[in-house]
Amino acid sequence: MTSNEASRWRLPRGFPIRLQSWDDETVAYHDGSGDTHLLGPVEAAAIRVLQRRPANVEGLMHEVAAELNLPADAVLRAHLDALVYEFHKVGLIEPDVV
Amino acid sequence: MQIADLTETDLRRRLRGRGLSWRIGPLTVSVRSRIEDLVKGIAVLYHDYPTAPDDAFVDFHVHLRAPSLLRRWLRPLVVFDLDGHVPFTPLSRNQAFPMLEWGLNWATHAHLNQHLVLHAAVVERDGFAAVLPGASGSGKSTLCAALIHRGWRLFSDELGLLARDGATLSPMPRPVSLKNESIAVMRRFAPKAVIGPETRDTNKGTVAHVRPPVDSIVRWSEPAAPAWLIFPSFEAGAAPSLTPISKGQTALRLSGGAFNTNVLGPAGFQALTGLVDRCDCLTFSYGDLDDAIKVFDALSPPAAARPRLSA
Repeated sequence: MTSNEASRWRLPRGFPIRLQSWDDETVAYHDGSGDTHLLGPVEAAAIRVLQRRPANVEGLMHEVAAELNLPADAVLRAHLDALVYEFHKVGLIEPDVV
Repeated sequence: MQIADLTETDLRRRLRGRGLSWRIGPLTVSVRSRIEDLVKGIAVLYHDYPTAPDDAFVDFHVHLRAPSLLRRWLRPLVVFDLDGHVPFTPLSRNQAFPMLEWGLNWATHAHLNQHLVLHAAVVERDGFAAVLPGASGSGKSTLCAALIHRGWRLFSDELGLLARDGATLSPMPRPVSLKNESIAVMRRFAPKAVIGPETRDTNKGTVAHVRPPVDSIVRWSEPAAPAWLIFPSFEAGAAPSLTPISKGQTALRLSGGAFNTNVLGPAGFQALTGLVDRCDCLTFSYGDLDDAIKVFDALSPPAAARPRLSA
């Protein structure tokens, strides 16, 4: 499933994502898979947004932009489109299906 | 009583009877075997370890034995049997001592889940520990063997036992495993080091083990604060070079080298990030052990490594 097919994304149900940050780097631990991932600032901000509530890519873009003081533009949108695809592939997020 | 106090006949009799039991740090192991090579390996390399009383609780009952009657006639083999469980395929009989060591490594990281078990050598000086993670061939055991013959205390050459809060490392000193060229390197570097019999044609090449210093064995109950995470790599002819690496990269590399993160789950992640928080994180390339020792001796612990006062 691509970001275009899911209106909203969320963290995996029942499996928190734990974050630990040092400077611009964050490691994320997925309780369900036991995998550890290394994230940059945008990636970590996206996870933090989704820790608060599910969001679609548009919503993610605005919240990430606000958190990191970045322009909410097409560049960020394209980056987040690719990011949700990658996050979904490694199981860090899932579609928010009601 | 220590293993050194037993005659070879006593040692052989115990191994062939109810088992020879001795203490390795917090653990008690009991080993039974009729394999003659094992007698010498244990006598030389566990020389200074305390024997356990007959009524001691035994953590690991090990039996190094021949396989089935049929197979023992084809080629002399040895099986590592832990409490009736045989986790490995048999090896040639001459590999009995290395098999005991590899088996104890496995038993430790498979069962000591009160710790996060890192695939790393750990050495200590003045209460601060250096953790040397590294894959086979990185030079971590050779560097570890050199450091313990220049004033550093041995915690382990293979298994770093980290508390769940990441604040302390516990020693479990056992013989240091060397292979191939590093055996001769260590004989030259530390002529007084006691090195056990060489075993050829293992899947790692020729292996031999170094007897741990007595001080490391006696002080097994003294933990240390982690201060340095250093990824070593031996490069022939290289000048010693310490290079900082980011804490994020360090955490990622460490997570791939811990044995039981999936068993501990979030507690393992907490231990690992706690460790990274407290340490200076570095890579270290070296081509000469004397140069490497100078670099290690000049290390000073970061402020984050110092014990924190509770409120």
